[in-house]
Parts: sequence; C-alpha cells; structure tokens
Amino acid sequence: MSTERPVAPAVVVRYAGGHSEVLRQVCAGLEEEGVPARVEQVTGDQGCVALAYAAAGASPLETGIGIDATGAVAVHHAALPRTAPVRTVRADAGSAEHRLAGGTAARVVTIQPLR
Amino acid sequence: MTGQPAGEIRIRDLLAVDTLVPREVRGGLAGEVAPENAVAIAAMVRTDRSRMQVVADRVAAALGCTVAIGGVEGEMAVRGALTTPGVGVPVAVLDLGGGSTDAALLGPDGRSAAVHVAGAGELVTKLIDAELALEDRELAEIVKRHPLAKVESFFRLRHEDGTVQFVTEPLPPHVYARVVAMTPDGPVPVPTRRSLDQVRRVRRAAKRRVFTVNALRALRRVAPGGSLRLLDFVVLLGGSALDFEIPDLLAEALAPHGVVCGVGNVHGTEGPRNAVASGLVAAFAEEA
Repeated sequence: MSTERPVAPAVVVRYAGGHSEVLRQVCAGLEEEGVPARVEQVTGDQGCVALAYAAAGASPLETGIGIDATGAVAVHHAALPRTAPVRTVRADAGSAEHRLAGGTAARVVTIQPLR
Repeated sequence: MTGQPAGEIRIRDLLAVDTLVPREVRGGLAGEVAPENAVAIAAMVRTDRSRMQVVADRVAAALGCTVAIGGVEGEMAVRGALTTPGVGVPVAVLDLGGGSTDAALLGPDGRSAAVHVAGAGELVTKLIDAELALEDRELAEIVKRHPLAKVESFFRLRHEDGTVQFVTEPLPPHVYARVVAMTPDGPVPVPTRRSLDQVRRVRRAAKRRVFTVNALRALRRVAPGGSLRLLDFVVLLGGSALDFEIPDLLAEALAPHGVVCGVGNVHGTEGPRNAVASGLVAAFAEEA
C-alpha cells in the first residue's frame, strides 16, 4: 500500500478506553515537550506493553504509548525488545506520573535525558 | 586526625588552584546558582618520627612481626623505577600519588635528591566534584578515571574522541541521551546539564592544573641547577600514572623542555605501582 501524502510525524497513543483522565494527562505530557501525538482507540484486552509496542511500530517516530483497559501506561520504542519498554506506570500512580509517561515518550523522540 | 595539637602541625608545601564552584544565589526564589571563584588548596604537613613509630607499632601488633622504619621515599622510588626494563642512571622519577606528587633524581655519581609537593589525585577528584557540582566523591572519581561518551540512542553511543559505537543490547533508559563515563561495568550517567565537551574540559583542566603544575615545580627543584633541560628522561610512577590521559598531558607539558617521559614498569611486571615497596625490599635485601 502506498499513501499519496506522507504520514505526519507523531507519537502514537493506543488507548483501550475507559480512562479518559489518564489519556488526557499522557497527551498533556507530550504537549508540554512540544511533540505531536496521534490517539488511536483500540478494542481488546491486550496489556499496556503490547499496546505500546504495536503503537511504536505504527509511529513514524518509532515511539508509542499504550494505555490498557485497567488504565496502566507503557512507553515503548520500536527498536527495543518487545518485553522491555522504556517505562511503565501503574494505573493508580497518580496524574503527575501519567503526565511524566507522556513526557518520557517525548524525550525519547527529542533525544533528551529522561526524567 | 593524627591526634597532634594543631599548634604542632607545620605546613611544608602548599598548592593553590583557581576554580569555580556553584553557589546558590542569595534571595533567589527558584534556587538559582551562579558560578563563583574559589581557591582549592592542598597542603603538605611535616610528619615526625614519633608519628611513624605509632603506625609501625600498630602494623607490628596487627601482623605479629617486627617493623622497622627505614629509607627515604624518593630514593626508594628511584630504586623501584630502576627495575623498569631499559631504565638506567641518571634517572628522574615522578611519583604521582593520591595526596602528593614526589620527584626524585639519581645522578650518575650516585647522589640522589628528592622532594614532595602537595596536591595529586585526590585534589583532582575534589576539583571535578566542585566544578561539576556533583556533590558525590565516588562519582567524581569515576569521571576522573574513565573516558566519557554520549548516549545518542538506545543502541548507539558516541565516545569523546568522536567515534560511534553500536551495542547489541539496548542501553538502559536511565542513561538515555546522557553524558556517561565508560567504566568496565558499563556506562555510568553523569548528572549534569553540561555537554560532553564541557565535562571533558573540566576534567582535563583539573588534571592539568594539578599534575602538570606539580610535575614541573617538583622536577625543577630536583633538576641540576633547577633546569629541566638537564634532565633526559622521567619515569612516571604511582597510581595516577595508570590514568588514561595523565601521562599524555605530562608528556605534552615536558616536551618543550626536551624531556621524554614514560610510565614505569617495576620489575617489568608490576606496572607503575609498588615502586617504593620494591625499592624498600631491594634496599633491605642489600643490607641483610
């Protein structure tokens, strides 16, 4: 398949639904660092790491975030081993941690030290 | 520290180094820091024989053998250095230690001279610690001892000489995009916002300001007529001679004076360490 227009560079966020506040914080974290995001709603009961790995594969920036049905977050890079994400954040970690997950993905893209 | 009253301590040598230390700006609301001038000082104090005897007694008690105090450190270092293959008289040695830098000369007539000057490896560590605001002596020691690199992606790092290395196992996230020191146990992140070049400059400047300054001033004192031109070659000894760049920095500093320097290799196997110990054993064996 060949697309006419090139895909805009963005971190892909795969979101299983049900945790809009977590999604909002993750996107805020990306926005703070000035990195564009593309949210994709998915169905199924995949874990956050698997979602993030698939998202990284789909991202032109090779960086993806997965938010699973429990609200847990994972940040992944396409070059890393499937089971070794950059960072995972538990569902009950709090909004600051979720925002930091977004920031981590952004910093992977911009090659800055992770916080 | 030695239990001597402060009034009895006599300073014999002093090395002062200009440096910059980060100080918190007073009245600042966000904890701002600004670099401020400071002076780092290393001092050498005179020891007396009774102090040495205390150490000797303790060693004797711990090991259960007789302990004798003997030898002059500089002369013993020369003796040790002479066991390096290819080294002959006359010879000058520089012992780059932790606390002091020692120079000694053995002339063709068998006469020797020795001097100790303050400031060596420990002072370098202190300078690196202060200027990079690490506040961690162990980490400053790591920065001093190992070359730097910058992690550019999960699989790639750029060494300080500009070469790029690819790794097969992904680098851990805590070193991502950071300046790291390449230890044998893997990269150790240096928590600073400075670039690799700036950290490297701080490290080399610290070594240069302590070791080359001290090497020149110690050698001048032992050189015949105080002239470095009359020395032919210098053997570097001590733990700091094992450093990856100090011998190069010294060679660079001594080259304009027509002095060649090289790292010693005691008994052809021991490297630059244990020269004084080897010299003591040799001297004792000769007497006995």
